[in-house]
Amino acid sequence: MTTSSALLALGPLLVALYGGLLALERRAALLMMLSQPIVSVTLLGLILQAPLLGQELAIRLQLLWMGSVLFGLSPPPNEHLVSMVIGGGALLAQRGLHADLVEVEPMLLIALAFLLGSPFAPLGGYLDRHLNRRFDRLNALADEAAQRGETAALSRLVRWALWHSFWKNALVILVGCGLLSVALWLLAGQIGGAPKVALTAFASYALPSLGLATSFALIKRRRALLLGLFAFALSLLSLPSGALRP
Amino acid sequence: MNASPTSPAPGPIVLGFWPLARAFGRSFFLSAAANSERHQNIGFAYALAPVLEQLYPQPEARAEALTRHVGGFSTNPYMATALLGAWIRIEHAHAQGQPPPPTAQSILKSLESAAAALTDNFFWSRLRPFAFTFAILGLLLGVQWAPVAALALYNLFHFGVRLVGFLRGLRGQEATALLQGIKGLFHLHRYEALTVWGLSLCLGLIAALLTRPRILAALPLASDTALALFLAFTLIFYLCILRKIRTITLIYSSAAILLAYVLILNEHFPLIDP
Repeated sequence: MTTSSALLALGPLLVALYGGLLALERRAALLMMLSQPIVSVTLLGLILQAPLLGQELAIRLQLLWMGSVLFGLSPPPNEHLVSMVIGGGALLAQRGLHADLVEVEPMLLIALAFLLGSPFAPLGGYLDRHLNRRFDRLNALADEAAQRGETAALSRLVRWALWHSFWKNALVILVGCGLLSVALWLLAGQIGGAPKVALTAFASYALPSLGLATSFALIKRRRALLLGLFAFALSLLSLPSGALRP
Repeated sequence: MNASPTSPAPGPIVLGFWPLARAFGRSFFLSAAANSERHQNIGFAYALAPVLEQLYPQPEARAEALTRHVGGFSTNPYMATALLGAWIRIEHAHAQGQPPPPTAQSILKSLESAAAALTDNFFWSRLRPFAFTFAILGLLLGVQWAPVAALALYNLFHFGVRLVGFLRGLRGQEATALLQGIKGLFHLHRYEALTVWGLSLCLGLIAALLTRPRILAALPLASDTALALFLAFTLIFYLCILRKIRTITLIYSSAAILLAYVLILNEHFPLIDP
């Protein structure tokens, strides 16, 4: 087994376990925001020893899904699931390609990962709705446990729900991340010419600007928006290009 | 005199530290079995269980108490601890033979939605975007620990509201003043405005950092053209989002437009040199 194929085989399993645990943190327990893409994908990049690509992915994913919040009865697109699939897929593919001594432009990899992985956002929203409906069935069991005064039975219901949330999220991430990393591994080296230019433009311009627009749309105060524009104009004029980032 | 099986145990009952600590710890799992019919009911009854076990040693009385709480519960998970504390206080009084005031249950029920209204907007739509936009700005400036700082900032409010809410609920503050008191204590109304200004400032700086020539040099464009393209994209996307066009639709349509431009239009209106 070559290094690249070993990475592609075992990597999705690692990402699925990591993503499954963080999916619990997002929906079921703690709610400390560890599952926010800027945290989870940056850390995944460090774990998979590709910190720069991890950061680039994390910044785009966080900006893009800034408005996605899980509360109320209609779950939004699942920003965590899509981040794990896109982040995990791109990071594993890069490691696989690197092991095969194939160098691919990171922006090309990011563009392909977003284009192939984005359907997992609405799919994740569907998974959230499915879990809500699945847990409706626990109400009858909870009523029975309460009528018997059995607190241990309630604890079992909670543990069952946690386990159920974990494995369903982990399974979707495993399948998504596995398929995406293989697809990227096969595709990324084959794309050149005009499509490569268009995809690079997509990752360098369209994704960050869409993310910025999504985040700006959260601001409802006109004066605050003006402050943002003022900060943008001022820093554009005063910052020396490339001086701030090492 | 024989007490009925469901009547509360007479005499003073001292609630120990551990049942309260366990109840608080379990409140972190409030949404574990969240469902579309009764929302966080199972998690709430699960959080109360250690206290109810101590208050009602007899299964019949415990069953009656548990049945009160599996009916339905829905609020902001962070603020739920205030209601959890208030319910523990009511159950404690009830177990000592004091019947709960007839309006207590309905007041606490109405507070669920009030608690959600007070805190949902602050945590989900204000503090969260601000904290993690700040993290993005930090990473773009090369500050590697910026996501950790964002988590610390967010969780300072998160754990603070949870803990103070729980203690105030237990202490028996008047129900209607309870939530406003927590909001006032953490100055949520003041920070709400600050986070909006902070978010906007961070986004402006992020936009400037993302449009620096070194990053835009990914494409063979003149720097003015690149900047104009970036700003045009942002403005168009902003208007589309205000018109409720979905993010995923914008992702694919922008990719398709760029591909079409490079493959077809660039020949007639050269902008990019492939």
